[in-house]
Amino acid sequence: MPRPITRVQLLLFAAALLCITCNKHLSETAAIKTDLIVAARSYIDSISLRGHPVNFRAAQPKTILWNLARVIPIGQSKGVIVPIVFDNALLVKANFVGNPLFHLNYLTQLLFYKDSTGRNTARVITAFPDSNYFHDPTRPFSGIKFIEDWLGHPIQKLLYIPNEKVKHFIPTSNQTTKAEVTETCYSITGYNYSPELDETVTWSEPAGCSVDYIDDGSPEEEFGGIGGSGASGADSAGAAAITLLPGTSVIKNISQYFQCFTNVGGTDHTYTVTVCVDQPDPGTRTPWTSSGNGSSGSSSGNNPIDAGHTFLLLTETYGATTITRNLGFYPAGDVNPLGVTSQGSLNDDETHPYNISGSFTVNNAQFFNILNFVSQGNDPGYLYNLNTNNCTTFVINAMAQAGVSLPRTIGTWLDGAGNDPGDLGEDMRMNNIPGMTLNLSGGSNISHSNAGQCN
Amino acid sequence: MQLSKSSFMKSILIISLVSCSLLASCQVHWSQASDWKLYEYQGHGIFKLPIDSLKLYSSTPMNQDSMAFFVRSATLLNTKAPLIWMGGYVATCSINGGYRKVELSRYGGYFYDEKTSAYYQLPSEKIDAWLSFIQNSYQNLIKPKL
Repeated sequence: MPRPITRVQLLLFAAALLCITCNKHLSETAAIKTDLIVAARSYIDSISLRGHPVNFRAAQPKTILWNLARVIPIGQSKGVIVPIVFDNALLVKANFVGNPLFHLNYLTQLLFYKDSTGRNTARVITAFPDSNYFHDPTRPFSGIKFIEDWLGHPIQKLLYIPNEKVKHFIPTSNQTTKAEVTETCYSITGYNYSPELDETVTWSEPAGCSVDYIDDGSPEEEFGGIGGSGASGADSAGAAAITLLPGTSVIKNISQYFQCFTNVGGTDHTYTVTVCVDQPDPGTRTPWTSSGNGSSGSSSGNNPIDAGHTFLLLTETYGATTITRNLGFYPAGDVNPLGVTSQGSLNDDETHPYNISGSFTVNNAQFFNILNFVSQGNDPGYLYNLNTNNCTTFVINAMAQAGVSLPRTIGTWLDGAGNDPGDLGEDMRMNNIPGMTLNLSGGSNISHSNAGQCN
Repeated sequence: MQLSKSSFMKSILIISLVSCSLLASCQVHWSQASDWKLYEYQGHGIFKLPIDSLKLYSSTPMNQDSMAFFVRSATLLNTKAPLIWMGGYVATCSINGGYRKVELSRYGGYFYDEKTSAYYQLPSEKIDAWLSFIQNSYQNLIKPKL
């Protein structure tokens, strides 16, 4: 005799049905997204081969984050909108929005869709928020959006004003003589400053030098909530300077980072390598300190362990030129005493303070031996290991490439042991290491910036 | 017998729902954080600085949209042992009407929420951009304006 169906069984059946329905819907959306991404990639590749960028921003190397693509409705059809990041992590600074820097990365998106005739269309949308939006980024976007094709040709510019219709700029050859031109004039010029290369490249975009807005009376489509913001700043009409600052923390391209160094023998070029040590408890061999305070509470067992840091300051001097680069070895992911390894990562430590250092004058061959050694720090599979290949070990091994033998005192910590900044700092202080000039006053977060330029 | 099975299933469902709710309520919803500020202080006392004393240090508002972009995808990092710190930055934000002090690591894309003594980590694809963003914000704070 069959058993009666219970309410629970019915509920479970309904839930399963719901899941199947949801999954079907999700799979359809995923399929649309995949198709759009495939078409977009192919289209972008073909455009890039056919033409050349026409403005500074379009010419910058960039990456489209396809994995973050979103499907959005475009009229009766669908399109995909994808964030764009610039390979050099460009930041922009605009005087019409005040002092704060904001990422050009997160201002820029690619919109791809097929128009009503089925033709592939790609638009790059860059949003420049105004001070109203800076005051309250939770409100609808206000500012200017540039709509361009992939190569940077301007399509249109949209002005978003709080509580008003979207206005769009109609480019004409005699726009400045038009009676209906509003008084707002934003032009965007700027320069790309690279601390790594210490050079400045001025740039401007013809389409952005003078912008007139004419209300056409029809609201425009909002292409998505993009836009950077920062603190408030005053609006100002007139020329707006945008300063691009590359991100410098993670050294993505070590060859480029070192490209200004020249390998020249003789006495004209002087090479110096400084071992900078940031001891966790300055002046002691303590290998680590617990960083918790009362509110964090030691009882939580979750307080960060401060291990300090060791890094290199590399300098080449000739004539009136000085090239300086900071370099430290880190794990790419998190490490703890029970999870000691992670992919290695080379970072720019120019803002990292230290309390003790030792400098060595080396010849060009020694210097480049060190550069060659440290260059492997980013190699896939080259691991950071808290016990056997940490930042201090890395520096000691790098110096050994130049024949400089630093003490390898081993410190111990919970479930591990290895070279550590506490011991290395004290070894440098206590031992008369041949060829080393000891500096006991350390360096601040601004005293050892990268310097020097090259082409 | 039929009834006891049903009661058991119901209990399981209720326990699951309550557990899920509790877990969700413990995690900080960083997407709701605003008013991010970065402070000039660097050193080994970043965790010991009382939040009230931060007003003594220079600070800069951080790019709110960028911060939102980064932290909204941060996930609670459950570690078997305390993380190793190799320098970091002090930041504050406002969330749910409260004011929080957060330490941002110089590597690894994680940060530490003092209030809950918990680590949060960004997805790996955002770590490089995050570290560059933090360092640039800090450089903007400490260097003369260009």
